Amino acid sequence: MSAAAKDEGRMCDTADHGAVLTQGLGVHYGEVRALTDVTVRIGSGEITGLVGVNGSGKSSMLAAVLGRVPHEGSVRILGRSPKEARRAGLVASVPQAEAVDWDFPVTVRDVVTTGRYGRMGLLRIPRAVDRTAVDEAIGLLGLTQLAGRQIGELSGGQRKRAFVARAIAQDAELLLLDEPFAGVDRTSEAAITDVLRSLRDRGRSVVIVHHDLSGVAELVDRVLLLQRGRLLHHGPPAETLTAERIAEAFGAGRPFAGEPGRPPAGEPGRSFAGEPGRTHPDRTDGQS
Amino acid sequence: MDASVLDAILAPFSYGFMQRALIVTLMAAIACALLSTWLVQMGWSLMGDAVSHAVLPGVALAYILGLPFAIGAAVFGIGAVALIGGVRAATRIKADAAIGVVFTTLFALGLVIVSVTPSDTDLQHILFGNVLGVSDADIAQVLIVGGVVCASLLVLRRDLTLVAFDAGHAHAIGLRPRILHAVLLGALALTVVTALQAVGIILVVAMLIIPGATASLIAVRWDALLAWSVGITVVASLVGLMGAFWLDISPGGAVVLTQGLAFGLALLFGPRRGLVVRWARARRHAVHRG
Repeated sequence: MSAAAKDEGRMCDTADHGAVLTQGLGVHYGEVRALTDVTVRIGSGEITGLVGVNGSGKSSMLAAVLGRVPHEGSVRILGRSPKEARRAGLVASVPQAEAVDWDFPVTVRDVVTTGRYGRMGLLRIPRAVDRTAVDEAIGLLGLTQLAGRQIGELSGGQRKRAFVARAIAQDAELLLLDEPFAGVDRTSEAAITDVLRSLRDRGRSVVIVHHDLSGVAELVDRVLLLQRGRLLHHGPPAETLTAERIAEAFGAGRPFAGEPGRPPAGEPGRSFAGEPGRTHPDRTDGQS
Repeated sequence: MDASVLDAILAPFSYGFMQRALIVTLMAAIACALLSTWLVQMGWSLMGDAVSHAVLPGVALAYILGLPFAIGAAVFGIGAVALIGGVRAATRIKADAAIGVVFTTLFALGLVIVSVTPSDTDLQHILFGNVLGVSDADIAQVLIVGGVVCASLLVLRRDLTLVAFDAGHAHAIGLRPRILHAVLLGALALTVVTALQAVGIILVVAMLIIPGATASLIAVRWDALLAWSVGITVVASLVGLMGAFWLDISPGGAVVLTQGLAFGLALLFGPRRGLVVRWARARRHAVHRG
């Protein structure tokens, strides 16, 4: 990257490029093909739902866009190479609950603070502006009372909110969320949905990986429907989610598992669902 | 504190050889304790086991060639890590088996090399440490290597912790998890060298695992975890060396045994999930219900 391009930094005009542009994107693990020839332009300033059954290639596509797995084809993020976009702090990722070690000795505030690491020096010592951004993000997601708690002491929904707060503190242009509503109570789901909408309204781009259709149509501007590693359709929910395509993508399964906006039963982290604000009963330390 | 008790505690360290032993043991133990926090949280304890054994041929060859132990150990430590990765990539063997095959084979190679070298008293020293007979050169090496390792880990501690907690986020914000993993493994190889003098190859593993594991039963924040890990290991080193002096037992053995006792105490009384705390909670719940 040239010095001039670096100076331009985050202020560059991203509208022309779209948030994510893939061409012939493919991923395979040994003999197994996970994603085949996906060419798509995900618009900026939109909420896009990446939808499909397990094994349809959603996670592989997310990993390829983030540059986490070797892939064929090309990816541009906000008009830049993925590496440039990551270095510039343009991309925030919210992991699946299953990918996190909840026993890890970090507090909610520690987790959110890592969103600012890209802006700190080598020692990652937060300056006043970083602390303010962290406090605001924590407040925005309603976690102020829980900021001093070890992350695993929170309910499933509160944990997810902490990771969304991290993305907010990072102030990224593009947010990639892997199953943000799995195992999440209603309060947390509403809090996360509100935040994502307001980000979209401020011109940020959001991509949500979602394994069924519950709640998708109301939240997203566009749906990217994947089936067996191929792009089935990309468009507004009303256009993409026809009965025919739903049947094709989800087979005889139940795309609307559970009630709308709810995770299906048996999802990890369900035990606290419906009890907003409740934390682990055994824990009494921390700042509450 | 009663003056006579203090005298009794400090008496062993009025001897020159005990002072040297203390310096070497503390430096090695602190480097190990810092490293152990990441190894334990990342599930890399077995890697500590592997690298500590795999350096034996490197140390033996360095001895034969008259090079510093650190160079031979670093080459074989990092080589072992690369070989483990290679075996996993080339076969379908699972991680623990790949680690087991590589480090035991290298350890055996080390034993063979040592067996054909003239003096075999040094093998005892490599295997079990020789902390009461360290030379000035040994002390200088341990202080330099240990100091570099500790400084690097402390400078990079927030990045290392982030990679251990959420490598995906670290990658997404432009950090390079692979390089940070390599830093950890490089630090591991070098730390093993410093600890060879203090406790020997076999007990290095303990010093690389027990402090971090013990601290994880106590601390809920990373900086506290580091502080507990180092604190526990410093106390264990002092207690162990004094025990060795007064009871005339193996210093390396005494230090590690003390660390093991500290783990036992944390297991019983630790605030996070100590058995006593859990028992008290269960009792409280029972009272509330009943």
